[in-house]
Amino acid sequence: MARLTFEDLAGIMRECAGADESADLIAGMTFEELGCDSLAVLQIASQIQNRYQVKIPDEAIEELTSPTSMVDYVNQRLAAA
Amino acid sequence: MTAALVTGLGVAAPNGLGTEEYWSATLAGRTGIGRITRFDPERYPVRLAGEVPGFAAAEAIPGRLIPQTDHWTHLALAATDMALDDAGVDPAELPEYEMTVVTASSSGGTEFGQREIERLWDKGPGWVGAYQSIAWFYAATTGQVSIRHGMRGPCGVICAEQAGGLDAAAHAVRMLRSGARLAVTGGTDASLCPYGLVAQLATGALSTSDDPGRAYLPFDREASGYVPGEGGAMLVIEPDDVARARGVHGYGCLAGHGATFDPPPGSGREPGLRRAAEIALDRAGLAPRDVDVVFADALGVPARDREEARAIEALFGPRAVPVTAPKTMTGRLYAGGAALDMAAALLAMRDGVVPPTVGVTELADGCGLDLVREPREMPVRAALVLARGHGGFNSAVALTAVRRTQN
Repeated sequence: MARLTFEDLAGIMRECAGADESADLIAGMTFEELGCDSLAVLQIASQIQNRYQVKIPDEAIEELTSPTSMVDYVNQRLAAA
Repeated sequence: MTAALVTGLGVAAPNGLGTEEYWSATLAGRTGIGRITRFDPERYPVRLAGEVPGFAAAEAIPGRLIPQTDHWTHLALAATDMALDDAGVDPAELPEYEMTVVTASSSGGTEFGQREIERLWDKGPGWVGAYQSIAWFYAATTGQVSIRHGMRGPCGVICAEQAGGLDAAAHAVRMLRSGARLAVTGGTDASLCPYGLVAQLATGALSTSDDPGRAYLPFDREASGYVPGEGGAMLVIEPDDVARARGVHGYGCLAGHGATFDPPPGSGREPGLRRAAEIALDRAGLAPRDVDVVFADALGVPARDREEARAIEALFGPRAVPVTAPKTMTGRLYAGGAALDMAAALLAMRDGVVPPTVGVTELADGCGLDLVREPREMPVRAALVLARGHGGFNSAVALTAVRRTQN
């Protein structure tokens, strides 16, 4: 079953937000602390939706304020699918 | 009244990335025009352009900004860093609401837009990037410069095609008059992608020549349109008392600006360029005889070249003022073009040399100008920069080496 790992998310963040992210670094921080504004989070979420075939509604994106919450949310949705 | 002093220059031009690189190439007559490499132009009627050489966004601007912004904004961010560095200013040390950004833009982020439209077409709406919402539009460069440097005073963008660079600078001067202590102004454009190029073709004014040395020959008997280019220049301007208080003398003053709009086609009335120039000189407190050199708009379309030559002759008299068009080495940069001409005029003042117009061998009938075709060493105390934007925009800026105040 497909899962979103911190490594995967760090890779997506590098592409979307253009900075050097590591899996270790992002696990303990919020998107805001990582310098990702709301558009960056939207872009990251849409890439995840496209690649993992998982739906993340706009209302949910607002609540996903950190890489950890993003990884947990996406993996719950993938497990439920 | 306070004069607006240009204290910093940043240049990203097709014949040189960096102010001194551009200037030495320009004085040497080195062109930046060549076959388009940003995409394969084979199937398009226009295959030549001026592309900025050796520009690597990853080396020039913060990584976070690269996927958020178009190439045109990348060039402006890099040129702004150069201009601030040249001015010796650290924006972090200045009050954020007393700094302002006013840029010109003509095409917006077309290359970014093309990429996202392709995703929409090939894969669907879910694949269109979120940054398309902010990267394409004309104010994106102004906004990104403002955010990056914490310049939170009144900001703006002006879209008047090639005339926009001068109008933006004039608006920046107004911002200084209303209390700003520093303004970043100028402009860039970068519309060398299939979508951007096709949009430019609609005017019919682009050269279809494949010979980089003969494609863009304003005022020449063989003028056949112009070559497009990317890049431009950014300028830091400050009230002269503020700059001098920190021991900076700057390049020269933005002493006067005039803008007019052409009468409707077929009206038989005179185009507005001469009047724009007269207004600029009047506001600068200059007479035509005070002007040492004119940087021409130089469209390269025979009828428009004759119009401009007539305007210059009407104002100055026959062959009474040196005229030059270093843009023959860069192509027309749209929003970046007139900003780059202002930079060239200020460098001409600094070094006492008028840069050449290249390629022109035989002046067309009706274009009997004193066209500078080799670098001409002479004192430059006042320069007039002319610009015409597609659709009827005319602008002129008078630059002076000595302190002058706009009336």
